Amino acid sequence: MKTPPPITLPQGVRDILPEEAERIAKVESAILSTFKRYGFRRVITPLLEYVDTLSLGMGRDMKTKVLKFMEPGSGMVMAIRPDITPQIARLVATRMRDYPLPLKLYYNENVFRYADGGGERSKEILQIGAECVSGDASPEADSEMVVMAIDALKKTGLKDFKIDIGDVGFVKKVLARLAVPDEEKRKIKDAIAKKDNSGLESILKTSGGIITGADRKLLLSLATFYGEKEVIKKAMSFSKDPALKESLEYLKKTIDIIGRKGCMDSITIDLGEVRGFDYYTGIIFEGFAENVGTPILSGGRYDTLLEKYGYPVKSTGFAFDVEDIVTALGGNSL
Amino acid sequence: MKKIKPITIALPKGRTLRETVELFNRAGIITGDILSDERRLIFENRKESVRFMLVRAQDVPTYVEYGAADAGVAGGDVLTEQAKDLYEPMDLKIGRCRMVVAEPKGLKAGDNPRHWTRIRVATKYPNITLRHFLKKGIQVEIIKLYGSIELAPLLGLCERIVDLVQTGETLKKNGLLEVETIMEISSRLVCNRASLKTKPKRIKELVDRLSKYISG
Repeated sequence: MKTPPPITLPQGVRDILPEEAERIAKVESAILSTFKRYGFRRVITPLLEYVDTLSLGMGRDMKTKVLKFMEPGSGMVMAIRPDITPQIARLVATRMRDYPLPLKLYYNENVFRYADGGGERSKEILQIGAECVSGDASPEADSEMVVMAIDALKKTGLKDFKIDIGDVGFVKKVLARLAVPDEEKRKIKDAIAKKDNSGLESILKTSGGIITGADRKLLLSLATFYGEKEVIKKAMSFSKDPALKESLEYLKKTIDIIGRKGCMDSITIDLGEVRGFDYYTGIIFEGFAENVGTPILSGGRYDTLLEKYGYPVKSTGFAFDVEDIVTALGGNSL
Repeated sequence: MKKIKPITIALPKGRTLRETVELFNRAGIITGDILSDERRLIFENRKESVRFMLVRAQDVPTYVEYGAADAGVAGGDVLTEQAKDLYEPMDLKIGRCRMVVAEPKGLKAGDNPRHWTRIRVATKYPNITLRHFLKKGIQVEIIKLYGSIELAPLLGLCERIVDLVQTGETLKKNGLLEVETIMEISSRLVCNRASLKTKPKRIKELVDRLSKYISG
């Protein structure tokens, strides 16, 4: 006699029972009411997209995390969305050009990120996010996103959290100054991402002494440019290039506005941070809570993404991982 | 004054533990002889508000990635093999060794690694091994073992191995010769991302204090 196969779910997805669903709903309503107070309006995007369309807005890393399958009729490859931002970019660029800017949108959706081989690293994530599309980049828009994220987290009842702010635009400009092949730049970027200074030093050594003087000093300092506001000042003293100074000025203005809104206690700065989606072009930020090992929110400025969908406007946005916030709150939510 | 935030550090049992503990001892982060009781896996330095846990070397990156430990000490071999998303702010320059490809003496004579096309290799490090040979255009059948790798060629399980060597004594005793070095290895301080962001002062202090006692 054969035993019937157990009734199971694929890796990475799960059911949520009433008790947990209620905790999630509380966090959702705290975040959504904050978003509405800032004048953001909800949009709903589809579960599936054509890979070709989605790919316009995805970097190499995200492309490997897409669960794909074929549309039976057409033979075209479809995907379950791994990220909502490219969908919003498509939506705004193709259907919302007649809306006045700045355009403030939010969403409350699930995404699915597939790990190679479908192992335990596959994950369905409940995301609540906001995007602000405008004609130009401004410290005002960037700081508003950070302050709104802080307000929303406070409203959920979360106490010990930090929003860590960096600037990929700054790091990209530092790398652009180096006269070494792209392969070498990628290695340098990876070492910076890990704050691995000894690794960085050996890369600089093997690259034949092309990177010297101020550039070398700045690269090796990047791994230590984390902490509070004073790191911007420190970075200023290492950066003679006007393009670098411009990035740091922008960042400083953004931080100053956040400070004036009374949120300085909730932020940290890390100029050596290069993680996040490939589409980020400027200020990036992530939220961390003390008892959760991974970021509870991440976001940043992406000024070239909408252009890829044919609409040359700029944008900044972020998304919360709702279940991580529930975990961070532990038993004492709201 | 705000209360200082406690931190937890995961230390690897095995090959490098004694050296690691000595370094932390010199830096004043560990006091007393914590290795006298072999069965104790968690201990605390109250004065410094630091807690230590002893775990398997291969498990250190996992504890740190999930934030169960704020920081840890892990070998470059384990870190490269597992490729977890961690900060690696410092090379501690202890536990030094090399990861090499080795084969029996008899095979080495007249063998040219550049002409290999398909080989069978036993190792504890399947990911590193696969990447190393694929990069050279060599197809490789990997046999994952958990220890005593150097026995595998003797027993005819495979022709070649990828393993760590410190002095080369073990290879020699088993009639094996080094063919090439894949990477140089040492122990590193690793750190959880959220810990570095939420406790930046403590992590900076840890790095600063250890860096004063790193030699070479």
